[in-house]
Amino acid sequence: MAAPDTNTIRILVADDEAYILQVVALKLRNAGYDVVTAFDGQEALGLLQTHGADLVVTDLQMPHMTGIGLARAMSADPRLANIPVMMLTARGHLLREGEADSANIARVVHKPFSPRALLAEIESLLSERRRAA
Amino acid sequence: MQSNNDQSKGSSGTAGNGRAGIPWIALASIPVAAVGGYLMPGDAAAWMVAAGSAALTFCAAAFFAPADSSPESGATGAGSEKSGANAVAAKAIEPREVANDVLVRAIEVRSTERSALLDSLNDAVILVDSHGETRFANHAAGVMLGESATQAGTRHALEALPSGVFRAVQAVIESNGSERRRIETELTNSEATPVVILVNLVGHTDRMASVIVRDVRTEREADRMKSEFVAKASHELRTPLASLRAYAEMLADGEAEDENQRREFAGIILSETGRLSTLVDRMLDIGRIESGMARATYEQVDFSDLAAKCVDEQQGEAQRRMIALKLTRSDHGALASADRPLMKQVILNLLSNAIKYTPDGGEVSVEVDTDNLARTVVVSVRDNGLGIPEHAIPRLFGKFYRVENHEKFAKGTGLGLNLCRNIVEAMHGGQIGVDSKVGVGSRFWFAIPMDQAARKAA
Repeated sequence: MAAPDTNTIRILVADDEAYILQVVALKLRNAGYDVVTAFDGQEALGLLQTHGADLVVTDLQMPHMTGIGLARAMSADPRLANIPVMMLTARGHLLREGEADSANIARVVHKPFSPRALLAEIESLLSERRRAA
Repeated sequence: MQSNNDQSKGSSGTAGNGRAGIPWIALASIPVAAVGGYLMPGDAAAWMVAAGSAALTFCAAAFFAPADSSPESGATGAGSEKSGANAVAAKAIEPREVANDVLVRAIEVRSTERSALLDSLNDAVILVDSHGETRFANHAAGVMLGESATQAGTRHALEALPSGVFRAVQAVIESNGSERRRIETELTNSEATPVVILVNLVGHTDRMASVIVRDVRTEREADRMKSEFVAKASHELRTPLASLRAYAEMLADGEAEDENQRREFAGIILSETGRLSTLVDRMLDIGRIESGMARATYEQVDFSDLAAKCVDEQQGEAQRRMIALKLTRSDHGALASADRPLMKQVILNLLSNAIKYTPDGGEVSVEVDTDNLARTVVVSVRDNGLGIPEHAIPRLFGKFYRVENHEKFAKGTGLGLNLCRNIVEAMHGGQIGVDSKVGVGSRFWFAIPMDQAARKAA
């Protein structure tokens, strides 16, 4: 099966920092992905339940539902359990041992991050997933 | 005479201590007749001088008599109990030598004073022998380790402490004073109280050790708050840094669609740089105030005049947001001794918050009043903006706290109100507060004492 066209790949980006949300969304749109944005975990979960996504890029600390909360809620929902989650965090040490495994968190990217490096991580993760499929 | 050198108790005086080293254990543990016999040849006044200048060994011996040494001293080993026992001993001596009675009473007073001194400490002070038996425990030891821990002649005190403490006591006694130990541990009580335990030899020949247990909850809490501050601060610093880095790279990589977007990115970089530098300034200001390094220059401030100036300064921003900004009440008697630039900073901060969190077209007003009863000048900033949920109010003036959802409206450092509180309360002895209702609006107010005397008393 041929690699899917990036246009069909939908990435949900969640961050309560508007500037970060905007810059990540723009970088990914410029790279040809379909991008959906949310300001917090709860909004992200709602969007995932209605629209679905191939990948989630989320901030860790957000109001209402944190990135971890979102990843856990996704794991608990059979329709969302297989979507890989990439966590953006300024506090990597808060991601305790085992937390990343239990909640389908595929990668952790620390802030401040390079949008270029983030895109490279996303592409490597997606191609890993395609190979595994 | 010789019976007072009762080494089996491990605490009697020796030649090195002279007479001063002998008395209390001896008085309590040897037959009364022998006490009298021993003291008789001595000149009471000279003896007192010697006692007064005696080494810690004497103090320890003076009121740390073993409980089993005298039937009257009971099992508690508390200093006050012992003075009763000594009174009995003193009575028995009286017919033989009046001077001895005076001397015993003098020692009693000294003993009571010293145990009162030890009882006044917050640290547990326990004197233990090489067998781990308590010779003395102060009031705090009973509070910290339980009343049974203060029982002299038992090992209850060391048993109530982590096992390493007894080993430390033995090591310190064995080393004959060349070693002292400091143990950081937790008590095995329900709260697992963090403590620092110091073990030192008492005297050099008595084979006893002092165990001092200090409750360090307050220090630990301060450390925890400091770490939490550093963690939060680094998070808050990284947030604008993340934007700076991302937008600068987007510009460098030519990711902006057009000239407008390039300008937008540059604008974000500029505003995030400003946010970063405000954040650093506020952190430094708060740090200076909290460490007592900040110095205010007090002068007579006319708050009505100052508030009017602040309203003028914020008028541009208010108009841009179509917000009606007015000074609605002023009081010509609103004078107080304060640091003018700092007061201006507080008013501007409250005004800028009110404008930030009030939707376009709203209203913000400033009122200046005097409270003649409390002798304060009260400045209030009212808005008909978002309002603050009740649960958020207690944390509002803390560090790095931001009301959920308010971040979408405007960016902040999370330190502005904390700085205001520090300026008003720590530097001016005033008070700051808020009344608010979600969807209706907020009234932030602060009160500054009108005169120096009131401020100093605060």
